[in-house]
Amino acid sequence: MSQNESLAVILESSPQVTQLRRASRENDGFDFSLSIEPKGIPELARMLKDQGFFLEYLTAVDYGQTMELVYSFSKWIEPDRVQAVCPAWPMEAAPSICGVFPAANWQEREVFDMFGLEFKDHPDLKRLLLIQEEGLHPLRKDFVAGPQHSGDVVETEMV
Amino acid sequence: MVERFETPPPVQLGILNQMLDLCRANSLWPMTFGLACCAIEMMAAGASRFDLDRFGAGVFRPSPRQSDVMIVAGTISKKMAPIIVTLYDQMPAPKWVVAMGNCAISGGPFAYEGQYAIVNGADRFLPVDVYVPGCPPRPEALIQGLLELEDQLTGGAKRNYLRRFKRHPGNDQE
Repeated sequence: MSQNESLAVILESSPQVTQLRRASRENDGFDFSLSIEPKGIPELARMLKDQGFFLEYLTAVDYGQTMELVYSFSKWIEPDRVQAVCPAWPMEAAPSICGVFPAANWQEREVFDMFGLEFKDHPDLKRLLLIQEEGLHPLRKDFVAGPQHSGDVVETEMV
Repeated sequence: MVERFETPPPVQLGILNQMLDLCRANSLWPMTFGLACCAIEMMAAGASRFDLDRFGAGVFRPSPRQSDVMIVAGTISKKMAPIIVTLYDQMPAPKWVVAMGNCAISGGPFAYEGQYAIVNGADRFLPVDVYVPGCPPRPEALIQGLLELEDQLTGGAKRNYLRRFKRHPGNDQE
């Protein structure tokens, strides 16, 4: 049983994984793509960390009606890359994986900044790049940049 | 002589003030402080090929407490603006500000309606003395800007006796 096969068995046995798809590294850039329920994300992250994976990136996609979180895990020891997709909006907020991968801290803050998606149990969920302004989530589809944003708003205190 | 004090200093030294200004003009200490790609040109201006040290302005200080000049080199995001103000407030007077590059002058390519992240120019919240245009300006342009600042301090090119090079003949008149 190859490394990939054993990983597939582990991923399939996870109860939160709703769909597992083998992808081709040449065409898709990753070996496994899986859909997962939000509450299963920390468990998946912990399991992948035990397998020697690290968090490559964490981002979100806005499809208009729904939004999805996209996690990518990778490892150096064996060429292996797992992409996990979980629905994030308008469903319940996904739990943070800071406890498993500390690198997720700022990436979750960036997703919160750009998309307005919250993460449960995040130690310090505040904006990373933009100023504190109501409704300023510029990567959302329904965000319209108008003159109300381009004023000389300068924050008076460091956050 | 450009007066930089909000209130006049308690001790006035008469003609010695002009001497002090001459000293200040020829030992401007900028702050090590870059915001975007203009900072690369600022580093090049400080390095050996262009060598700001020829004009006494190459001593980049890592602390605002030791600096005279703030070179705002790059794009100012709204998140960064309060930090820049804090750094400016921490510099001891007399102090000067050079806005380097189009972003620091007017927002440059980021100035459009609906811009939500960038402040359109350093002069919206800082008293800017010299503007150095360019995107980014070449190191010669920054040097020219600092020489312009020295002229502002001493009251003109003719008064700046310590200048170690001949000016272009056309620029010699005040």
